[in-house]
Amino acid sequence: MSSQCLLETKGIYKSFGPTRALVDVNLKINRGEVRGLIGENGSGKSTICSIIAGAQTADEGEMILKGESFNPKGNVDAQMQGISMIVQEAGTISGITVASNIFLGNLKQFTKGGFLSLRKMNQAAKKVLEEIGIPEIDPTALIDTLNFEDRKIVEIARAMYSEPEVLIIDETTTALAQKGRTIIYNTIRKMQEKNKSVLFISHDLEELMKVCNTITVLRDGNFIGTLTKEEMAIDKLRRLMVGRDLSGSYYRADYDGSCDDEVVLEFNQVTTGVNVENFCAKLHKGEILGLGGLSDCGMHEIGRAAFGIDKLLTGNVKLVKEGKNLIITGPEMAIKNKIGYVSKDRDKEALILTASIKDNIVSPSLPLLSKATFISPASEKKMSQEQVKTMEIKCYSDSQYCNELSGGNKQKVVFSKWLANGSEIFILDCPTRGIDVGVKANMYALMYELKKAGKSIIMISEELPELIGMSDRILILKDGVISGEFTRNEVLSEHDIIEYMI
Amino acid sequence: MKKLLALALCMAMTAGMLAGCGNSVSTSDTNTSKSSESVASESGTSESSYNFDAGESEYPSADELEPHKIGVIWYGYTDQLSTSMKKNMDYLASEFNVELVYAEAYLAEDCISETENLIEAGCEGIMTLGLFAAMVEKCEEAGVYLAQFCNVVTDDEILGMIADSKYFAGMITESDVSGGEMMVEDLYERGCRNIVWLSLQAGASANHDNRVRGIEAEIEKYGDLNVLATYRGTDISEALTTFAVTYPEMDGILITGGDVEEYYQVMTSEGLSGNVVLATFDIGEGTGERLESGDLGWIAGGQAPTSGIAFSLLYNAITGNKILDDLTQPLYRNFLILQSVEDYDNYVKYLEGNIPAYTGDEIKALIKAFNPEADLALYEEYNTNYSIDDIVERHADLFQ
Amino acid sequence: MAEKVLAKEREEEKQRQAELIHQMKRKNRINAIVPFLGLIFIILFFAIVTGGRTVNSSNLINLVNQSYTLIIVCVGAAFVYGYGGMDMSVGYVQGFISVIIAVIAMNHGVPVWMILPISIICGMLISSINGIVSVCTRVPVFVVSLCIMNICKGIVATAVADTDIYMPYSEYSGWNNNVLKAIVLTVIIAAGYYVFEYTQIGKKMKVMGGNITTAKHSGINVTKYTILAYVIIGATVGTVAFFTLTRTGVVTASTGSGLMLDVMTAIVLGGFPLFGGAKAKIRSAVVGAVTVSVLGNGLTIWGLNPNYVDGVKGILFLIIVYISYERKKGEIFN
Repeated sequence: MSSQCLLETKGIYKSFGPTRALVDVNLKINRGEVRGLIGENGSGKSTICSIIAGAQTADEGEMILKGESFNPKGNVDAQMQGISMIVQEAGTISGITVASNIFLGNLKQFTKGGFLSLRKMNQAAKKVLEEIGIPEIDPTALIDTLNFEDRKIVEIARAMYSEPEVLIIDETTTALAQKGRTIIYNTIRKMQEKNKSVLFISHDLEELMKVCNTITVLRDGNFIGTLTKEEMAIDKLRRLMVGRDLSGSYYRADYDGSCDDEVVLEFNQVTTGVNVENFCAKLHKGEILGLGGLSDCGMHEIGRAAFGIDKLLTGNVKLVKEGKNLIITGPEMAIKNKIGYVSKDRDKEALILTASIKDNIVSPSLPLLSKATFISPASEKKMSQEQVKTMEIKCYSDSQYCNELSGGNKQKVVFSKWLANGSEIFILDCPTRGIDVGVKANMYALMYELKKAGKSIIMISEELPELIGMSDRILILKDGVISGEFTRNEVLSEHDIIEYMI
Repeated sequence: MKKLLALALCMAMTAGMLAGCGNSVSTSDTNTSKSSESVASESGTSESSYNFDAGESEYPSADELEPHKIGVIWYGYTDQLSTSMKKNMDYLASEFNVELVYAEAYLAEDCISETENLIEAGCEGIMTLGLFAAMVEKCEEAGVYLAQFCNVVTDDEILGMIADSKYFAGMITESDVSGGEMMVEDLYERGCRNIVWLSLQAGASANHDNRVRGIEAEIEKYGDLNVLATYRGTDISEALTTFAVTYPEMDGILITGGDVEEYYQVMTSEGLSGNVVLATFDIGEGTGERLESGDLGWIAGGQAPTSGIAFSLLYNAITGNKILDDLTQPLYRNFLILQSVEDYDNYVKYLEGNIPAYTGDEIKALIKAFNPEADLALYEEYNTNYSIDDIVERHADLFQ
Repeated sequence: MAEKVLAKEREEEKQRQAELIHQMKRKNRINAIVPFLGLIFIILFFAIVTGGRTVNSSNLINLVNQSYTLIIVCVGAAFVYGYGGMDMSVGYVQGFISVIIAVIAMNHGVPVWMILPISIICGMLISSINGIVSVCTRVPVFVVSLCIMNICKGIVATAVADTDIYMPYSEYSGWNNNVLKAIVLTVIIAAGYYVFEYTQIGKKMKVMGGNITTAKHSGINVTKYTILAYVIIGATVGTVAFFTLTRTGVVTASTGSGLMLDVMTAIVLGGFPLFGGAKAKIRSAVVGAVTVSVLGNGLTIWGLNPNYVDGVKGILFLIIVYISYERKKGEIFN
């Protein structure tokens, strides 16, 4: 068996200041194995991966690669020794070509007498791109001309050109649509065929179970256990991750798709500059309207249109309030009329990372808090502490900065902004992207509560299970037009929907 | 990252702008000779103090004198002229047992603040480049003497305050108007009939404005002197290039000062050498060569010793003696004018070397407390006699 | 058994958390005085090297006079820098206003008491052009203000081309009055503090400084508040233009030209975040302004040889920034 073992970590410890990120982590990965790694946000998954990939060093412990002690000096060094990593956040460098991005920090092989042979580099890049199955990307193109998805694929190419023994994929698929995912799955399969190993991190339990042979669970930096293919079951994994039983069901339990007849928001012939054409839809009081499709099908733009962020080419979004029709003209007006918007890009659009939880929560409510120009610190504190309490935001105080919070807690802060100002209509764009199951469950419960309280929700999501699990009605978009509509029922499956998407 | 870049860019631009400001300030207001540093190195002396044997003195030496404290409001080390001025003042301070406190200020606001600070620092007198009403007022209140050098005030209200002041010691500057007149006269005598003149934009510097006044007045006097073109602005070299191309008949150039070396280069590159004569201000690098080749006919400079005369005015006031009857009338000093290689050699030897333009004893002769005969007439003698020949005559024996 | 271990671990975790909260609270208390440390240091330093000259009562009056304009403009600048903007034009806008009020005062027989409001209104109008142009053309405000700076510089240079404009000093010097100045200063600091820290205006600007997209998504009219920031700084520049003129009595081509750099230096020395956001505090701007003035005042009174002044200044700068900046461990640029 021991000859089978490719990579082993022994007793890894790592702390960041007072936070213990890893406690005595022992991993053993065999050849041909696809190992899944799960855990809540902050459980140490990314930390252990970046230690293996050489981006960080452990405080204690040792690593053994192919039977020899392994101490990478940096991620380029690690890559040379056969360990590559595709990271969670976009890691390409703008302003240079695709090929340069692929061979970043590793140009020596194309350099002769101090001169870099661009031709050789581009050829090599072309070959790598073809190998991973995406020959249509031009290696000489500037990286900025590529969309997010393709940039991610370039990162895969960067990880693969050195023909690694171990490939680490850190939550990459959450950011990808079908095309990118297929490429990743193919890459994983090829690695497996060549008797190499993959370490795969994802929040998507179904995905993990489909792809991996074994799954390791981490919690609070501790190694909880490893499950084999036979032992895998979603409930079990969730329980191990969270450390307790998730009470009740994950999604809402009822199959009652009915709602009030009263229309609260109406899209009339909405056409945006990007993707969406003549979109018409109605959102009713107390309804959860799901919008699904591939990531560039236009659903995100519809969310932005409903909040008045982008200018529409034609059509309008009408808000029906106390019998009067109001046209949405911009976020300021939308917020005044009790619409809240959760952006899909949490860190860049929804949050001020360098401000406290309190400042973030009160930011849309400032006009409400202002009494004769005065905003009392006490009223701000009251508002934010109420939210911290009801949303169970994990923090030492509401003056803690948002950049210190985990993804799930950040998302709770974003939700709190709109709960605090008493929004009636919620536009949620990928509300559970990149957050762990524990918080996910909270979010679903919250959405259901809101629905029952008569609030209306538009949920835009790339994940079909949550659309099916939560929506009263689902609209599927394809290339900017509605391609299918489904009402809530027990028998609705992903399979039924997927054909309308592609 | 972008923000960092923006910050870096912004800092760089700010620095650039400031550097620009500093230069224009210096060139315009104290008649810079930018490159005299190399003049100094040519003559082999770049030390920051003089070094000569003054011989026996009839005046009291520094250690016999009571200590005094004098403040100096200047533009800081902006150019070579400021360096020589400071060298000159530091020398006199040591000769007179005076402690000098330097304060950098150019803006009105800053000059006033620094006046307050110097008074607070316990100075008995202040010599300043910039003079504003509040400064006169503050010095009056505090009983601190005040003198202006290398600039003159023209505002009637300030002149009114000065006239009544008990503590104002006088103003002294170079005669820019007559400098302007002289340069025209010189070119005319050389036979130039088709000239151009160039200067900084109006308002940028009182010194340059006055030189232009002199130039214009003098040109009026000659009926057959043809002015082809004039330019006032910051890009003098560029304008000169344009003139060189546009007016082939041009035979004389008048420039009120600035980056003189650049003008020489334009003359060479545009093929003006040999046909055209330049008259300008600010002695610097290349002056000797150009005087020799004949490109340069007339050049004025040598303002550093003005600070020494201002120092003596202040010292007289502090020691209780008044020299000027009408404080609103500035004292005017000659420029040093070089017209030949011999002049230049003497300039290097007698002004940029180890000997100051006025020795301690020569300045002490201006102090009534040491020399009862010191009066306004003596001052005027010093000022109007000031020339290369005058210095050579006075100091030739110090070289033996 | 495993359950027990787990429970024990959770207990430890809780304790660690409590300790962390305690640490953070203590750190916050210390941080409250940190911004003042630089200023305290520099005051003590000069008091010692000048043998107390810098801290006697007459010099303290000098200090108020000298820091007066900078403090006022820094209060305005807090709004601009707070929302993430930048203003390169302050100095020459001051010059431009000075020209306007000097001309009005000299030629049109306007009563003296009306000059101050006119000055403030001119400041608001001229400075707001920065914001308006930037918002309309979407050119970064840094560039716009650079252009406005040059335009104002040109106007001032043209206006004083023939001769510097002298104000009737005696007529206005009555306004150069310490009591009046103290009242104006107090009112401006108090108003600035209130508006920046306790009203929608300041809070929204800080949100903009933190993340402009989030600000838009939070319903903040960023166009309006961008322009407003420049109107506010314009009002302070207008105030300063008037009081500077009563002090100097003259408008020259360089009037105000040193202000922009002083403001930036004050912002840095006060520990004000250069790109705004939640950490922006009026108090930092004011402390920075006082620090700059104390430095200038102290260096002259100390009477140091000018050969060393710049070097000493640089070292003092570094010390002030070192002791008054709140830094996170391992962070180079905060």
